[in-house]
Amino acid sequence: MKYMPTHGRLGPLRRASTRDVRGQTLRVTVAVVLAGLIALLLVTPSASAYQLIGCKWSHKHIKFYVPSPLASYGIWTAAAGLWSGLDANFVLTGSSPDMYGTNENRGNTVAWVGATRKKGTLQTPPPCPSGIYKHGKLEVVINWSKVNALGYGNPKKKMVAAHELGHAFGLAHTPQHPEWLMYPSDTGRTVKVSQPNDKAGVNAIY
Amino acid sequence: MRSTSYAIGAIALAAGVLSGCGASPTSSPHTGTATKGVPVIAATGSRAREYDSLSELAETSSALVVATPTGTLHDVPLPAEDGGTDESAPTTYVQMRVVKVLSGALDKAAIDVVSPGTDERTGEAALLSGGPYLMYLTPAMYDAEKPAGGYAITGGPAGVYASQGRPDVYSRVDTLSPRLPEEIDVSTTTLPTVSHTEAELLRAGPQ
Repeated sequence: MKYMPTHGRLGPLRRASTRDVRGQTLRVTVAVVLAGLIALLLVTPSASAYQLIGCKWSHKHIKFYVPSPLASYGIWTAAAGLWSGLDANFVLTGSSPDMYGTNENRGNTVAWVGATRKKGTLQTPPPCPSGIYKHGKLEVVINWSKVNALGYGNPKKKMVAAHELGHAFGLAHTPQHPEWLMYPSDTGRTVKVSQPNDKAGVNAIY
Repeated sequence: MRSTSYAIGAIALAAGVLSGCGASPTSSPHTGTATKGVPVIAATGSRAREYDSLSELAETSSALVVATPTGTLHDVPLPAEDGGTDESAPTTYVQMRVVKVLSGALDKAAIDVVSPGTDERTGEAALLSGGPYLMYLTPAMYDAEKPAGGYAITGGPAGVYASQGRPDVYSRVDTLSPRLPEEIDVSTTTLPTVSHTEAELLRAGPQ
């Protein structure tokens, strides 16, 4: 604020300064309130706070191959269907697949019942240089002996498969939300199929 | 003009508020905070269950031991009948010297334990170095009545605690089991008894 010499009088200039001070106070107050509201909107976990891995495919139709002799073939195909109607989808094909589905009897030698990994590794995350999954390098797997030993029926096996396919889209775990498919453990999760927030995450990515 | 200055001010202030808020909401949750002596094991895959107490770990274990790595490891291929192919990754075991059996039965001086993943601090197989470690063990198996050889840690990272140098005190390793105790002082804690035999757990199959 600029104060001018007034030769001992602060008539019009003084009134103008008071208005300026009031105006500036108002502007600062409004800015602070707006800032608080913006910060609150950005920081507060909202109902649509899906989590993203930071990896995605460069295209929307993801070619997915599961060899038909595998015990998990029907589970994977059904799980892919649970993610239909979105801005991206899985296309089942053996022709130049982007990613693979399989099952292994890893038993208790791994902690997981399902994993999304770099093909040919036990549990290394799939590579995604510059945030894009590499063609043919991603594999989703079900620990078949473990889900059977734990008595999982087909709906629960499909849940495991659909969860892994969520990772294959690029969704991360949502440990605060057992009511979403991307919750990390089967015992805590309260749903068996993808929920609106899971789907919103996929649409946000693609 | 004035409304524009309000908006600019608000955005600048909001940016200032957010700059202290840490990770972006889109970052991966698969990270842990490194603590001296405690392995950071990347959480991969989806687990069947969460372990919330030491009793739950004891219920599916055949031994609770303190052991120290010898620094050696070996790989075992996944058998073809269990889905193994030429491309399949092997199972990595780390060798451990048993210091003390706290509960259950284990009469070997040295054991092979399935490494529960990669230690992000070192890039090596977890538990290849460091320790001593407090571990809930169960016979490693591909399926019921189909032992893989050696031992697996119950719940993977959930069933292992690491020493940070304080005698008898072990710190939780797993970042995804927040309800397990952060520390166990074996000199003052009454630990739940491990009562199942290896044969019983093999019969029950992988848990």
